[in-house]
Amino acid sequence: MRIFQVLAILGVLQFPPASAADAPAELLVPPNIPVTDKDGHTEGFVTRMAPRGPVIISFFYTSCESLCDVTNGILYGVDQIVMEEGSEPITLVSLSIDPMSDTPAALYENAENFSPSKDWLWLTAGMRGTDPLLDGLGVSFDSIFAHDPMFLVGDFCSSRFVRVIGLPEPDLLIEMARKIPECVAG
Amino acid sequence: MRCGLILALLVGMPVCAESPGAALYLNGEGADVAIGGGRVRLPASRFACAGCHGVDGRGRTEGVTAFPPVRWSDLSASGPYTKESFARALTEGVTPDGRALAQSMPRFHVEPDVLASLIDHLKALDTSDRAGVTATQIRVAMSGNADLDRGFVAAIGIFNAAGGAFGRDIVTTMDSAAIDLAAFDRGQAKRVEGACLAAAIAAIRQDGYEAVRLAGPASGDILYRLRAVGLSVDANAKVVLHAGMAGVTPVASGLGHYGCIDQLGPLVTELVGGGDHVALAVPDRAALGWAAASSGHADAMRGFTLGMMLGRAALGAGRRVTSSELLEAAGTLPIVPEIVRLAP
Repeated sequence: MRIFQVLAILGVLQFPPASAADAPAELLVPPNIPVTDKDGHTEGFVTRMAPRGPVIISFFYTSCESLCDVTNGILYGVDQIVMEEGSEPITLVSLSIDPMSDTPAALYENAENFSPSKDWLWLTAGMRGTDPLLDGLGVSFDSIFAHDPMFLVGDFCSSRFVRVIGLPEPDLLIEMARKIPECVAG
Repeated sequence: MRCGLILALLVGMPVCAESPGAALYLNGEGADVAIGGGRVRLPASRFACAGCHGVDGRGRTEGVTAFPPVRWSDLSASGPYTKESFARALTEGVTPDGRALAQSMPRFHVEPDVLASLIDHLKALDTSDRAGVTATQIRVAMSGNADLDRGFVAAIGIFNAAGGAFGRDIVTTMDSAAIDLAAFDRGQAKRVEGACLAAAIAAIRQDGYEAVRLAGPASGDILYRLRAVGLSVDANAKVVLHAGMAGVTPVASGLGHYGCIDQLGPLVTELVGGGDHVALAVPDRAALGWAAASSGHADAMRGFTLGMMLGRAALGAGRRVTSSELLEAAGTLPIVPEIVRLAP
């Protein structure tokens, strides 16, 4: 979290940088930890994500009633706009940071508020997997109650992601996802 | 959990009346939020004002994001706000002096009558934010459950004897403008149960077992939690997880029993007397010690735990605290149950 505080002091946290769509990517290679979705299906995180092309990941917990809903609201905007446009799908991931409370049933209940399409995954890595998965994604929170809004935009084929800290417009995230070069594994 | 639960915990406050404005402020009812520059709309049910600005309207921080106070007096000091300029801020995100509100503030679409009612609610917050908390007291309305109340009174007695918090003692009252102990109990029950269940399951795994039998329903939630730590369900396993239903005793003997004290506690004498080992997940060891010394039952022990939680929250929430801030602080206290083992 300290890096976020530094960023906030520098004044870049409230809004993503204007050039976020062109921000440099970072290499992230998270472990292939089993994750379970809101419907109870369990599969390795990387195995599940690798064939999906562009991905936008955000972080939340189900009992949160403040910024988590704003970040999920932004993903809702992306989900709706992509569906309306009928364009190439973008996989959206709402990844729980509260493995104690966020069982698949809790994820399902929360997801219902946002009527997610099939391309919007609500995931938990459980008690054992959440910390190492967050570490692998370069995410660290002092407390789930004090986490800052963040999105990762990239793909698991190239493992390159752009980190957006703050609350971007859905259109910006879509633009960033569309700019990801097509990747052929191997 | 904040708005709905904390609303339930604060009884008798004028802001609790479900006017359209209160319903929007507390539950996000009666409005939409606009996303993506208005291209997409979403019901505001997950965007209640109280979720970010607090039930009391005094503002909060989350991470490095500051949610400002929104009581009408606060807005007037920074405005001045009128009905028209408030509507513009809410729908367009522009303040009376032309500043753009942060992106973390959703843009709402609200009918004029709901907007007027919301302003009334924000004005009411000016006078209601001290309900239940005075300069010298944190006032708590008893639950009516004699055991729960007895445990709570015992705990706050210890807390008060140790000096209270910032010059305040926790006192019980019949006053309606107070924290409702019964609702506080209900609000914490899910958190305590979840933490105890997780602790019991972790203890089974740490003790080297790979399978459990279940006393209680095999809900999807429990099966997920077991799978997540590599435990399977086997009717012939040597250990039993008591979950989801109190007082269910397997017929076999010579087993190890794990579970939350609320569910497993009433069976301890029978199980240990019959030669079984028991591992109890206890949310507050001090409460167990008090209950053992005073013949307190499960409800009394839970009341004691709640008293201690409220005391810790009062110490952590600071001097200028409101009831809703106090309850939010209690709701974020970590619950780390201990495992208490009993052998035949």
